[in-house]
Amino acid sequence: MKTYKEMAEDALRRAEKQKLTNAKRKKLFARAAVSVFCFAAAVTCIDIWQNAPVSEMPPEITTLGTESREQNTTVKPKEKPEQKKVITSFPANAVCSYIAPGNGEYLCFIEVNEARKKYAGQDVVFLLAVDIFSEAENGEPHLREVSDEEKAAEYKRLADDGFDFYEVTYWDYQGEEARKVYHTALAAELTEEQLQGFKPSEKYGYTFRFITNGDSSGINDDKINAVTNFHTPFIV
Amino acid sequence: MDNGASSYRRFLEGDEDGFIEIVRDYKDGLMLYINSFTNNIHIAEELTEETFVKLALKKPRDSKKSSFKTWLYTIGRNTAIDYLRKNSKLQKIPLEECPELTSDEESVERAYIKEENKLILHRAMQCLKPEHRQILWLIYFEGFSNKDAGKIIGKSTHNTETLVYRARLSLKAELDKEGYIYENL
Repeated sequence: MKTYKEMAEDALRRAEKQKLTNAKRKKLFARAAVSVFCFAAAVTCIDIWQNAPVSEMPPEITTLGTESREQNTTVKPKEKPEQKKVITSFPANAVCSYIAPGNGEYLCFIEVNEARKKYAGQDVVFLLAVDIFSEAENGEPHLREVSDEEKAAEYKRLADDGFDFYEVTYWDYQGEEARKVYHTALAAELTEEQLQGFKPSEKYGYTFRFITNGDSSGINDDKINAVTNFHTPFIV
Repeated sequence: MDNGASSYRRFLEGDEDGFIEIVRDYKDGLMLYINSFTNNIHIAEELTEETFVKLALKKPRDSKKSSFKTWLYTIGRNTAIDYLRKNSKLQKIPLEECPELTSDEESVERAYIKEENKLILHRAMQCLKPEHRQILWLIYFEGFSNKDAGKIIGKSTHNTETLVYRARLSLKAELDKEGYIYENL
């Protein structure tokens, strides 16, 4: 059992320690509150900007950055449909893993289907990556690698079938310092009708997905170049 | 103004000796009162220290409506009740199975309660309901009036008087069982 002096000293020491902890907590809380406020403000700004009508967005069009890409694709400025809102991403409440579709089949990622439900009946277009797969022959369960030439030919067929393809930019984090690195990808601007009436080739399977940045945000649809001539390689 | 209040006022003005005096004067009595809730003198000691930590940390202003001692015991009671609420699922071990607890309690008890008659009374109180044990401690051992004891346990004076009456009857029955006659009861 403690003497009264020991108890008094312990109580004073604990009170002092508790005071310091409380002060630290207050500081942390204040910092967290500022961070949350800034984040909320940023999210609100992005939301307002993303929901702004297409006609209000700057008509800036970029050209391709590298020589090799100029050789591989023919680019012309995109003529955007004035009234159509471009959907570049959609939050999904689930994370899924998918089995690659078999030849003659296709699937939309869950966020694409959620977006289709949300915008049903509205005059919107979805900016989606179209991935192409092919099953191995002789009944083997494995997928075979689709060559760049085959992809180019298939994208050309789809473009002839009415798909509008664009080159888009997205970024992700790379390296130990998590630097932002920009990439290009091929994306198709598709309406709900085009998705519903899609006719897959019997040689390939297809997936439709949103292209997202490293922080899961949607890509910037300002910087889109229309692609009409397909050559290899494709960066998807 | 009683000594506790003047010591506390000195502590509020920055004199740590004022705080040490409070602990010296009230530690044992408060610990035995809290022990009437916990039935474990070591936990009661911790909760007593916790009560003093609250006093040192928050430095609450004495309401002046009651004596410093009444006020301190109210904080102690609330601390004990908080502890019991949080630890209501803890397994209780009979005192007989922890001889060191019994001996520690006895040494605090002997240091605080000098009169032999009161020691007998205190031991008989261990068999009573906690509520009866607590009110009798405040009245018989700490010298609180029914009104002040009522303030500590959060009851009206009338309800406190009724509780004291019932507690006394229970204690008398307990003493009778042991063959003691306590005239002042």
